[in-house]
Amino acid sequence: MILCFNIVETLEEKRKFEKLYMQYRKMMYYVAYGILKDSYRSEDAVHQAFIKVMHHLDKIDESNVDRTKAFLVLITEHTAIDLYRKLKRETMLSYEEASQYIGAISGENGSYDHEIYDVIAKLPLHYRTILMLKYAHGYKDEEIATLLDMTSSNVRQRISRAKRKLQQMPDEQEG
Amino acid sequence: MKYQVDDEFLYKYMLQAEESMLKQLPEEETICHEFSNEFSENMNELLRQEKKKGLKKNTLRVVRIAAVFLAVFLAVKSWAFIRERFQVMPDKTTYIPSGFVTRQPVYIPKGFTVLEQQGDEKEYRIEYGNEFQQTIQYCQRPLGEEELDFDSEKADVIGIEGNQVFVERREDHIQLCWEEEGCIYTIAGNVDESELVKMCRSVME
Repeated sequence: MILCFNIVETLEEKRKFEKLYMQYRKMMYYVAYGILKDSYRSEDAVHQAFIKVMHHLDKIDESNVDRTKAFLVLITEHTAIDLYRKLKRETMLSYEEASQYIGAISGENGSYDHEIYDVIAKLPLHYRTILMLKYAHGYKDEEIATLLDMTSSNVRQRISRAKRKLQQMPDEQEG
Repeated sequence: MKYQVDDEFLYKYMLQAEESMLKQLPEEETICHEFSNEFSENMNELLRQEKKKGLKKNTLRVVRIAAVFLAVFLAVKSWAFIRERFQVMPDKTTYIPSGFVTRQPVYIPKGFTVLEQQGDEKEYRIEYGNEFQQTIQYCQRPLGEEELDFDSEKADVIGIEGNQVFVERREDHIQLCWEEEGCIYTIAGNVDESELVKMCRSVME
């Protein structure tokens, strides 16, 4: 009985992974391409993002399509930015600089309904990803750390900095 | 635009900001991209890994569950063996080899201590004494073919905790005897009768 249950669970996980792959791979590619501007590297980022997702399948609730989609976008963005930094390491490109490349999905064209959303959208990606995982998806600091290959203290530090940045951004824009 | 960025603010706006962000993305069907063969091969490999990982993870889980079941089974069998080999006394008792469940008085008259305590399959006996050379003997035997060895003409019958207790008085020596739950109990000694009655009651309770 237990064995049957486990076989079903194994098949269920495989089915879930396949479904995510079939349903969202192009959207993930689009997100990665928005950052990397390179087809080959974008595919690489999607592949790496799926490797991360594979280890956190239990965190994905398929029934909530928007939440699943948002989760995959955040992971892909983070992976793509990581890859971008790795590729540009010799030029010491910062996250802030890298974030300039994601204009296509950051709402720079002012299409957000609300000014606050606009500010949040313009937040550097490495800040925005963590804030969304914590405050929109409800993940704990430790879970975010595992998901993004960081330490918990690093996550807490980044959240603190993100809040400060978010607080300062309207003044910077006005200035 | 002024606002205070705290947890309440973030819980309120991050979800909505995320929804707005999703609206900016094109529909999956409208994204035209043919993935390379290399990517497809890599992903197929990943899918195979996922299957293997799932099987490995679940095999480990089955092994763990089986180990727990085995441990519980062994514990139950061991406990059954102990219960069979040594009867476990519920309270006021000790272990003796299989035979019957022993009980002993909770109340002991002031100044008395246990001088001797022994038990076997046929009898459980405790002797108490004090500094004035007074002694009390407590005995419990399983009820067998023998009946209460009492001269009913010489013994009085009193009721304690709903049991009939025979009281035999010989000069300063008093003996209480009763039958309860398949055992014969006797408490005897050269002490005040009320003290023996208290001991008797404490056995029954």
